[in-house]
Amino acid sequence: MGLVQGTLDMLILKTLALQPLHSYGIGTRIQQISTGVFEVGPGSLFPALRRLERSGLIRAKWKTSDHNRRARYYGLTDSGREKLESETREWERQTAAIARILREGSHA
Amino acid sequence: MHNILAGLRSLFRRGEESREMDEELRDYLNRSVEDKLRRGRSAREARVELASFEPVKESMRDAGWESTVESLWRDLRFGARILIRRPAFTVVAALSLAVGIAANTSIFSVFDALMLRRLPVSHPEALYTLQRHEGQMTSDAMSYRWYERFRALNNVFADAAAITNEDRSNVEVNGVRDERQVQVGLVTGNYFAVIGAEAAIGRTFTASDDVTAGGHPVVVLSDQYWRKVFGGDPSVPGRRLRLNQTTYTVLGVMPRAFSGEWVGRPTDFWIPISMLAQVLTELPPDPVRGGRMNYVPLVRLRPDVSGRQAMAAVAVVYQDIWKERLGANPSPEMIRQARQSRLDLVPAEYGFSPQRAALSKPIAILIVSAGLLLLITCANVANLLIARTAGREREIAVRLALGGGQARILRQLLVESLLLAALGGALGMLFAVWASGALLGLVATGPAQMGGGITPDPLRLEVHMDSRMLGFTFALSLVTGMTFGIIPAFRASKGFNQRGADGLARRGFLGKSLMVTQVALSLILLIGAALFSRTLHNLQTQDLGLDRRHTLLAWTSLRQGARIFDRASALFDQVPDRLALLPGVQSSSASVYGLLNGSESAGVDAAVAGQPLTASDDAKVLSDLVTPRYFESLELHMLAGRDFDARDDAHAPRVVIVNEALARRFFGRSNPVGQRIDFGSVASNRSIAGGPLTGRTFEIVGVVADSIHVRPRDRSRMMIYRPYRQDPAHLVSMCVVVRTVGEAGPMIDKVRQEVRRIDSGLPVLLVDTVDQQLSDLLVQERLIATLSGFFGGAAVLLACVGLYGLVSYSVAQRTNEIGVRIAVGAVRAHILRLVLGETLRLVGAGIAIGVPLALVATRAIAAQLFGVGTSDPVSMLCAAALLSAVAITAAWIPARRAASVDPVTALRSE
Repeated sequence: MGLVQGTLDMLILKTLALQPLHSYGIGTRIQQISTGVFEVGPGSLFPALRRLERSGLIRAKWKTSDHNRRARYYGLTDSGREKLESETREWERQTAAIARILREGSHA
Repeated sequence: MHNILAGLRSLFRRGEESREMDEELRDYLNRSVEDKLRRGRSAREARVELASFEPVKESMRDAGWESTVESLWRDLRFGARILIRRPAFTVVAALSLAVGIAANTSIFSVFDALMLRRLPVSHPEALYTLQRHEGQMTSDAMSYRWYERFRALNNVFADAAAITNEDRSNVEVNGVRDERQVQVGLVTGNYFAVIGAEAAIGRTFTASDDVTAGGHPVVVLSDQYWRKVFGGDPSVPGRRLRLNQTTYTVLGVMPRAFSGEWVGRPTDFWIPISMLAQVLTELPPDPVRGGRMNYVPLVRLRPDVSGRQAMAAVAVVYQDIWKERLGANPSPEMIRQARQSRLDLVPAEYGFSPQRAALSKPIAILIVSAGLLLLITCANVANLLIARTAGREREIAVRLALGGGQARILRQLLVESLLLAALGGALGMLFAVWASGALLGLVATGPAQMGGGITPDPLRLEVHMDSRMLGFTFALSLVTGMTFGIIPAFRASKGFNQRGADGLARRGFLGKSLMVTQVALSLILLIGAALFSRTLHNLQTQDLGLDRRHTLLAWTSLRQGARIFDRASALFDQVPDRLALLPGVQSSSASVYGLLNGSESAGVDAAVAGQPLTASDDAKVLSDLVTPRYFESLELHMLAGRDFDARDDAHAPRVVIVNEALARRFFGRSNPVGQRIDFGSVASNRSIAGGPLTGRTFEIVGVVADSIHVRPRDRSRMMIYRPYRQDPAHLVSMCVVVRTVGEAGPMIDKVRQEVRRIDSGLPVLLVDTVDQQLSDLLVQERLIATLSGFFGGAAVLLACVGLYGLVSYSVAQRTNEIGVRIAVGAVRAHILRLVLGETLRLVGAGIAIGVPLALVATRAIAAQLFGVGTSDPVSMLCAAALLSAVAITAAWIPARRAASVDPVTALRSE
């Protein structure tokens, strides 16, 4: 299923709020949590990561991890955390509003 | 901020970043593959989805702004390589762009210098002048008394200066007389403070240097005059300059950019107006206070005052002036005139220029023509580009297939176009620097009438490469590049997706319509060029009513100090007689205004037996004062009555000779000789020969044939001639007519020397043949004819290149088809005819579209034409024939190539 522009950014931020992850990890995590509804391929994942990194919302570090493998781990910055909170609030406000409209519509 | 820093960092760490990107992607891939294997897929299957990183990497790069900069740079380098690889195309395209851009830039530079430059002074926007509109007359000048009353308006004006400009040619520096005419600015002491200019060397004069009449012999030099006459001596303050009988001390030199308030006619030096009587010694005493109406006010508004407020204040004063003028018992005529009069406050931030109005129409015509030429250039280059991008079909297809987006390819092609335009612009700039000099030379020559004498009147403007010219060229190149680049680029970036016959046909159509447009526009330029050159030819060769090859005109000014002016009458007696004695001279005589001096004299009203003939300007009568045998020297036939002779002096009855036009208008078929006629002018404040003739009656003693008198375009203006002895006060200048036995040209120097021998103080302004004089008056016509001819030529050349390119391209495209035709038995001549016929059809379509457009366009230039209609069939036919001939020539080579196609090779190449 395709994602609304900007939604992917929010999902990535949310995923990284729990713990730093590498790119593949982020992709699979989003897929898992959404129980397979959202499938995030590298073609959209990497540009999104790049975009977020560029605007200072996430920060990447090379880390040697499990099985002695080097990987680029992404973590939230402070402004990323703030952004996530405000985006989440905004999202909730909007979805609630849309839900209300849809309900009203069905009564009519 | 973060974004910018990160962008810059990645821009400079390109290699490292790319490695990191690779590593991260590889890591992703490995994990993905492991994951899939774990879920039981085959290794091969697992790897499939990530076959190529490149698009991913590309989109990662695109996520940051720096990628745009970087890829632009890449596009630029790529574009440059492409252009270098096709030198022939690049040179042809850049050269044609250069011609188009240079034409526009050089015309812009002249336009800019004449019209768009503010005076180089502090706060020029606060400068205004006062313009009187009285009846049909408009004037910047007024009397000194009026100026003083306006100056007193210190609640709206910070201050006001008065200027009166005069030509002098009796300046001495170091005891050496300067033969040239100099432009003297006689200005009030506050002039420099009002206009807002300071001296570059020494100081300017101030109000305290302009207090007592005749008491301030000081002078401020212009930079040009300082360089020319004082050799740029930096210690010039304190040096001397002599004019008439007065020696002036140099106070300072103005900056180079400042040449006074007249654009195109720079002032050479400035003298306080209190010295007016010493500079213009020929004037009656107390010229400043006297009724002279030659003072141009220049006012500076107070900073807190709007133009509207100042206007209101000025109007009140002007009304008061009129009330006093009308007095207690005004005549109905005066009241009517008062009603038609008003005074305007006119912004002077761009200075004044007498040439501005005269040149605005020709410059407008040239700007439009240059614009058309540039459009033609765009169509031409666009066509070349289409043919060329078509050759790059494969390259572009590959790039599209490799994931290069349409936008990227569009951008790449546009960058190439802009690069080409920049190249053309740079070349064009070089051409333009040269061309604007040449253009100024064309505008510059030509005489103008000044204060009763003729002066060679160069439009003295400085045009040099500066930020404005550079900016204009840059902007023009940018627009040009976008214009010619956008269509081919757009087509290439998407058109190649839909390949096949349809695409090819459409490409052909686009190229052809561009070609048709080009032909149509070229035709308009060519028709314009033909009309203008026929106009010039008609004006130059028209029947003047004079013998143009055996007549010399020697112009002198008698208003050069009292010594000369007091002798004016004697000089009128002496000079023609002495010149008549020169070997090779048949006869010689003189008049005040001469002929073909190009002036716009106002003329006077005339009445016969109290029956006036006034109103429109062309009903005004021009007048001149002449010596006996004037008409004989000009070979103008006396149609009735007698010529003036020695009897017609100050004591004799006042007599006139009228020309045929006047006789016809006032007397119809009856004989005017012996009749009486009144001349008068209430409205005119101009000095005309004979002055205000109000209510003066003359007896007509003769009728003379018409001639082209003042300007080459006015055929039969009504003229009156009067004997010079009957009005000695108005002998302000002298034009000596010298009729030679042989060709007049070689006699010029002899005449000049002889005048000098008669009186070395008499300035000879110009000695020329009637032919040359006429030709000098046709500066504007020649300017337009020359340039439009040049534009037309360039357009033809471009059409030639364009057609050659288009036909070559279509022949190359159709090699197979032609091969087949030949293989199945088509005669080669038939192929030749086929290709040429197609070309002619294109040209025919262009002409069919161009002719109606030209018919509309030429209507706008009707006033500029002479002796030729706007829809002149000869011009149209010539233009169309020339274009067709050029088209066939251009198409001939590729057509021959098509006809010589070897069917075997052609078919094998499929």
